[in-house]
Amino acid sequence: MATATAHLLATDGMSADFIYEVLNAAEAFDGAGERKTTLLRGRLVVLAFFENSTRTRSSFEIACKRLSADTLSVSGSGSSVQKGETLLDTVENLKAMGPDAIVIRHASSGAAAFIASRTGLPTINAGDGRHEHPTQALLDLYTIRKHKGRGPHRELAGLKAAIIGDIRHGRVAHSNIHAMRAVGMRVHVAGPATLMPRHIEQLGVTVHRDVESAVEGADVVMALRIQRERLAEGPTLFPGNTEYARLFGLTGRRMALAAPGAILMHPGPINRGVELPSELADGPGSVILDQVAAGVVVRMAVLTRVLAPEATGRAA
Amino acid sequence: MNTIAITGGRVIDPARGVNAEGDVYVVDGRVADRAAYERARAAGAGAAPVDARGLWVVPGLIDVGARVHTLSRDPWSACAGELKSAAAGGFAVVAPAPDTDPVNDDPAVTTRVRAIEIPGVTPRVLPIGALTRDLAGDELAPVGLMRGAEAVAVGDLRRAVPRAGVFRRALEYAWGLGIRVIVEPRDGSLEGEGTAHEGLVATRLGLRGLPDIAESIAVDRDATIAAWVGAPLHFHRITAAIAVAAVRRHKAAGAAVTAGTTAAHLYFTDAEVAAAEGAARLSAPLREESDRAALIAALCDRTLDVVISDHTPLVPDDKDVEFEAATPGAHGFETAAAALTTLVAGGVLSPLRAVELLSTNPARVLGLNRAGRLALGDEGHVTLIDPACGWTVDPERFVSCSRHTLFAGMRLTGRPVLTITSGSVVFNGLR
Repeated sequence: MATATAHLLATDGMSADFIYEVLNAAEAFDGAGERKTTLLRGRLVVLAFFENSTRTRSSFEIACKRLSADTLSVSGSGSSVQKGETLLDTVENLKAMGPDAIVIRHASSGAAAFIASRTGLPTINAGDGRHEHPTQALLDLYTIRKHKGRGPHRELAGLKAAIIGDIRHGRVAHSNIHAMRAVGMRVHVAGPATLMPRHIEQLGVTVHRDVESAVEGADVVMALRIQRERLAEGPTLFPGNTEYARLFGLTGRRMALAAPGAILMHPGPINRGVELPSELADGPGSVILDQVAAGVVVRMAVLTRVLAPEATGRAA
Repeated sequence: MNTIAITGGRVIDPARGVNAEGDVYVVDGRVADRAAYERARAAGAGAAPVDARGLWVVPGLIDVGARVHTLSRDPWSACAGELKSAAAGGFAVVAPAPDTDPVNDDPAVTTRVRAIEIPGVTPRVLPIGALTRDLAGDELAPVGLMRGAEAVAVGDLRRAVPRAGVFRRALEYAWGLGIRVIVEPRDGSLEGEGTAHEGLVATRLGLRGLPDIAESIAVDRDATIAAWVGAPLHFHRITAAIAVAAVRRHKAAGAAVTAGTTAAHLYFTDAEVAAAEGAARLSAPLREESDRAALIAALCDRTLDVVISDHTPLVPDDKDVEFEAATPGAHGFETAAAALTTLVAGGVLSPLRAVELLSTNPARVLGLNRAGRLALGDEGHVTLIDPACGWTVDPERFVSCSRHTLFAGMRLTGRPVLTITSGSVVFNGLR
């Protein structure tokens, strides 16, 4: 039945059962008459975002508030981190003030697992370096299930997803690949060869040289954000936004190769005109805003799993 | 007017294993059979058949990395003339290097270079785009967009990309799009300000040296990266024995590398530097006799795949100066093919091998599936060569505006006499 989990660090290794449990729990929150529940009243959740974020942090804050939990926001700037305090010291100090859980986003791959193992504090990974962003993958699956779930249990097995863009630097891509594979989806990827990690096919993914063949017949097309400026190696990875948009950007013509009724996703924020033109981002097949809405209920489900395992799937 | 028949010649087509008397027909710019030609003729198309008795009939010659721009003033004006020179040299297809002005690192320039071709009048022009912006070796050039503008391959063709990490990414990115990359294997840091091969001649003349290890180290580095990335790689000009050995080693290890050299390097050594001064200054240095011999041997044992003209049109102001002030480069179009036929006449190369080096392999290197060969449906590029014609190289009679060549005054055996691009005659030297 309910699976308590001390932490939520990665989708790598998650079982299909666990994923569907979380999605079902999220759905219960979605359909609940009352927006607010008292499930986590009296609990304190630290939101430690050492990397900038609008969506994810707001989403977690709202999720906490809807569960009646108290939150404390800590960020990199204006904190002792700027005075040179190590991550571990920062978190240990916070721990000493008695929070029940920590949601952490950090620029270093592995930071969330590091904190979890060193402090023992129930930890939720809100994005660690280029490694994982598990709640994003879960909300993505939630969104896909809403539009494309098949059969009496609205399952995802057998659906084809095409993920296009920077797979190498994308924690969203990694988390989605693991989660999609866990529930039996077919995952196809395409993007500049310099942004495609070697050996990615060993994760059970089909790598395509061009967007067209990846997108063909896909039920789900996910465009990832391209961040040439943020990458130190940027100028050597691909020639710039114009070339990216022409060769890898999703266009109406490329989307027409997908399965009829295919949905278009993007974790945001979108570089309009690069990964996607506005017509597609705002068009009928786009479920991008659904993804954002899904974020709150999915994170509510994750928080209750980590902090109140006895409250399975029951909205108070 | 792109329908033509060539009859009675010796058809030498290594890709099809053909080396025998036969006829070649081109209809609507493509290699066709006799029936299709007869039909076209009956419908009023095409020229009268060309009598090729006594001549070799080979897939149109293809030149990689030549320059059709004068490197000095008004670079674009001389292009048509230089293309005529290429045609006179038997070249049906020319793939110009990216160091045009402006540099061909942008699809707009690629389009402009492509447009130098006049269909039916000049050889085919297939631009080679830059690998890095401004050929500077730091940032990727928009190779995908350039390929969209009909760039046939990319490569800076000047020096090896200085930073290995940048080259790895550039090669990975380009090959990820299926675009072939060509490298000039010269390590810029080892070459420094050198002007001549670092050997006894340079020492005697007090010239700054270009060590041969600059070439072999670049071959080793880039071939290793290419094998790791899983991409094919072509080395533009190999001039040193030690670099030949490096190519041989990588090929033996199964790497998908190919390599070329220039006609001049098969004939001349740094001994020319003392005598000819500015005219002997080439951008890939002439080296020692042992290097030249290694190149010849490499042609025969298939370590080297391509021979290029290395044509660089320069004017006297560029060349008739002291050695270290001379602009590197020389005329190449109208002597390259004859340089190889002379080696054939001398028993050094077989006719099949010569055609491989000038046509079959360049097509493969550039990824041209329908050129360098005369199978049905292939591009109708054909070159006719008189293998026995003896002639003396007289630069004053060159079609090109560029007169500087170390071949001046040499007696060569064999010469192209008819060049056909897509079924149209672009050079007619038949009497």
